[in-house]
Amino acid sequence: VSRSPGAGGREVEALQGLLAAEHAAVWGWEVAGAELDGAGRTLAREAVAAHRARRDRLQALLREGGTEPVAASAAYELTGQTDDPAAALRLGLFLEEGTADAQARALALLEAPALRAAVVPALVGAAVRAARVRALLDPDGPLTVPFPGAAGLPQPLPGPATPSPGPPAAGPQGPSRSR
Amino acid sequence: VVALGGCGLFDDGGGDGETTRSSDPASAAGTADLAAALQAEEALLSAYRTAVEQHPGLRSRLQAARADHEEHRRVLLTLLADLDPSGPWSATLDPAAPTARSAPAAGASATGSPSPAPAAGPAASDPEQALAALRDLEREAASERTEQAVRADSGWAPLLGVLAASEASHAAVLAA
Repeated sequence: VSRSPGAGGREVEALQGLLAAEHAAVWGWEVAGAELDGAGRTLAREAVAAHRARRDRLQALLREGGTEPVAASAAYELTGQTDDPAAALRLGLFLEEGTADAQARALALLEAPALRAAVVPALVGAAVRAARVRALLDPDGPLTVPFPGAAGLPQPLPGPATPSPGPPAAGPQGPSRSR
Repeated sequence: VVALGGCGLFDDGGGDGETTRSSDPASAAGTADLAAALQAEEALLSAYRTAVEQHPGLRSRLQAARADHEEHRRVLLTLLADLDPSGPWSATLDPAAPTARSAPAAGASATGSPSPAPAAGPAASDPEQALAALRDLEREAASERTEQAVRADSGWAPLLGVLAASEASHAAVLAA
């Protein structure tokens, strides 16, 4: 990275926010993976690996800039059940859509191309994994959304918008964490 | 117990007003960024139309991605018409105006000089070839939008990144 994230408070804020999201995604996919087998288990394993790699990269970027990375929560708590494969996949979709939103939100704060170059592929990866989850949940349904991560855009898209499905306001997949 | 939003996931992003962009989106650079993205969308839509016309059996499989691209086009045209009201964008938003297939505005530059959208490419002789060609176009578009999102000096990096993610997800679905 040619420019330290320590150069700007906004950039540190963006990277710390992404890191917190990656911590949560790693944990969430590990939980989901325990309920999955076959293609779902494979996807969960790949998702955990991808989010761990992102987590490690963000930690390195922050340390390069002299900032202590935020730690993972000591414990997370799910507010709903994930005791069947469909529920586990819905948790995975919730995590990927939320991660995509976080990446788009961070892009609005990052100016350095080197930092953006670390974020855009993560947004792309989250959108692709979300499509794979949708394919497992409902192969006949729409597998993509027009604007993955749209909830993280700094300004709403002009209407009549097709909003990102985003996370459910409440429901079986709304995880929370304990501190 | 703290909602997962506290981790940065699912925040609404509107809290502190610190999301102002590094530079003005309503700039010539901003218009050029969005115009380039629009040109790519027009090319993709043209390619999808060609594929469906030649292989009607693909219609349902391609329907969702086509709808996504139509939505990209609508949003980009709306933003461009707002940024550059004197440009050719408003005319193509008019339902009575020529459709995307013939709209001349697709490749207009920041200075308003139009250039045609790229041709959809040679016809694929069988459906699998058509799908492979579309997949390659989506990957190329995703790569271009990714590069734009990294380099954009106009404040449109988040939207360009979102478009890159969408094109990449289409490529993944077409490859499945």
